[in-house]
Amino acid sequence: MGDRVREVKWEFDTKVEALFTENLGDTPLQAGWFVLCSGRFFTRGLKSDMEKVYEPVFGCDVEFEPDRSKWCVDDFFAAQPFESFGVKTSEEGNALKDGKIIENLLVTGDILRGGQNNVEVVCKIII
Amino acid sequence: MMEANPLYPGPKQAGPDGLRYRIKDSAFFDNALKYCLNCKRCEVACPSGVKVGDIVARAKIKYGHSQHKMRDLMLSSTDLVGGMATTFAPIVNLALSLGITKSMLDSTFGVSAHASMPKYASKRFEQWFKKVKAHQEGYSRFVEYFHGCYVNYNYPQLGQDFVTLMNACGYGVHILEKQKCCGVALIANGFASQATSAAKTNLASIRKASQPVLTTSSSCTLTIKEEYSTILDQDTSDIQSKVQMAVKWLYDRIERGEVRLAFRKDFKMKAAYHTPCHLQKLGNQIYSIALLRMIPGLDLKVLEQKCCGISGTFGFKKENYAISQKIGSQLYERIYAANPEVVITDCETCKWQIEGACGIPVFNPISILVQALDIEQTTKLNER
Repeated sequence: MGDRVREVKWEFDTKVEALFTENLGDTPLQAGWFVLCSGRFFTRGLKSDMEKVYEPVFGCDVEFEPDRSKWCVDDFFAAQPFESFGVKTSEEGNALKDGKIIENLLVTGDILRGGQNNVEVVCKIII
Repeated sequence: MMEANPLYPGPKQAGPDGLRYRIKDSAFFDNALKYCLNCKRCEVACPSGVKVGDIVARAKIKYGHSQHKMRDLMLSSTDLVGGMATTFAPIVNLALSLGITKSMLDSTFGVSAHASMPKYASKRFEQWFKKVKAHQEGYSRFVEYFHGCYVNYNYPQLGQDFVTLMNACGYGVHILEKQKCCGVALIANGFASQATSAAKTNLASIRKASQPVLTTSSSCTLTIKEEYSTILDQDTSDIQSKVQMAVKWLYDRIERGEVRLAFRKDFKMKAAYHTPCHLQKLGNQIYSIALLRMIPGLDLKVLEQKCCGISGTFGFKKENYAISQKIGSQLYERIYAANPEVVITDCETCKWQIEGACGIPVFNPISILVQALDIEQTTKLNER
C-alpha cells in the first residue's frame, strides 16, 4: 500500500520475473504467481489518453471502444460505455499481452472488462 | 487520531480542502491541525498520491501558533539538550525521574508528569566510537552510519550493536561526519529555519560520503529522504539510493549472496514486531520482518499495524498526553494479546511509548539480530 510499481522485469515476453517499486528501490519482488487487481480509473488500475485505454503496469490487453466519441453517453446517470472497459483474460483468468497468455499473471476484480456501471447502479438506489 | 479525537477534522479537510481556504486568507487556519500526528496513513491510503501529511505540516509551519514555544523548542533541539544532558547524565536522569521535577515540568513547562522521560547516556555514541575507530580501518569494505540524536545521546547500545553487526558481515563502519539531528521534531513543531539548517548540513555530509549511508531509525530515514524535499524544499533526488535503512541494505546483501549470517543454536525468544508509522510509509518493514524471520529460535508475531500514539514530541506534551495514550491503547491491546517477552520495532519514540505504557522491553531489529548472532561463525563466513 502507498507504493507504486515502477518497472517490470520480464523473463520471456510471456512470464513476469520480478517487479521493482518506488519504495523498495533495487530490491526485486519475485514470486511464482502475480495477481493483478489494481481496480479501475480512480485507483489507476486503468489509465486513458485521447486515443486509448491502457493498463499501466504490465501493458496487458485492454478491451475498449476504439471510437473515442462512443466512450460516453450524454445522460450522466445512464450506463456509460467506458465503465465496462477493462483487461481481457484467458479462460483460466490469465492476463493477455499482445494476444499472448502471460503464464504467471492472473487478473481479478474491477480491472476486468465487463464491469458494472457504478454511477447508474448507485443512482438507481438513491433515486 | 480520527478514531480517538473528534476535534481533528481529518486529512481531507485539514489538507487539500483547508488549503484552498488558507490560500485566500490565513485566518482560515484551523488550530485543530495541531492534532495531526504526521503518521502518514493518509498518504499511504490516497489513491491519487496527494501528500496530505506534507500539506498539513507546511500549514502548521506557516500559520501555526503554540502556547508553549519555548517548551516545543527545547523538546525539538535534541543536539543542544542532548549535548548538555549527557555531560551531567547521572544528575539529569535522577532529576527527571523524581516526582517533584516532573510536577514542576508539568505545571511550568507543559511537559506531562505522566510521561516517562528518556534516559541520557553518560558517554555519547560518538565518544565510544573513538575507541573502535582504528579497528574499523582493518576492513576492506565500508559503510557510513547516520546514527541520529537518539543513538548518540540516549541509547548508544544500538549504535554499538550496529557496528558489531557490520563488522561481523565484513564491513568497517565510518560515522557520517558533521551530522546533526535529522530535524523531524523541529519540522513537526514548526521550526522550519532550524530544520532547514540541519537539513543542509546533513545533505552536504551525505553527498561527501562515498559509501551507502545507513540508518537505524525509521523517522530519521523518512525525514531525510522525503521531508527534506517535500516540506523543506531541499533537493534530495541525488541521495535517494545512497541513504538506506540498515535493514534494507543488509537484506539486499544477503539476497545477493554477498553476506551470510549464522545464528546461535541456543537463542530462543518470543517477540512481537511493531511497524512504526513512518516505516510503513517507506514500505521498509518488509526488510526488518524478513531479517527477523531468518532467526531460527525467534517466535515472531507481526502485529497488526497501529499507531503507538507518541508521534515524537507530541506525546510528551501535557495537553496531548491523554490523547496519545488513547491512540496507543489499540496497539497495547494487541501487544498484551500476543504476550511477548520483548517487542521489536525500528523507531525510538515508539520504543519509549511502548516501554512506558506496557512495561515490556523494546529492541531495534538490529539489536535482536546481534543478540541472536553467532558472531564468530558469521565473521568466518564473511571473511575475504
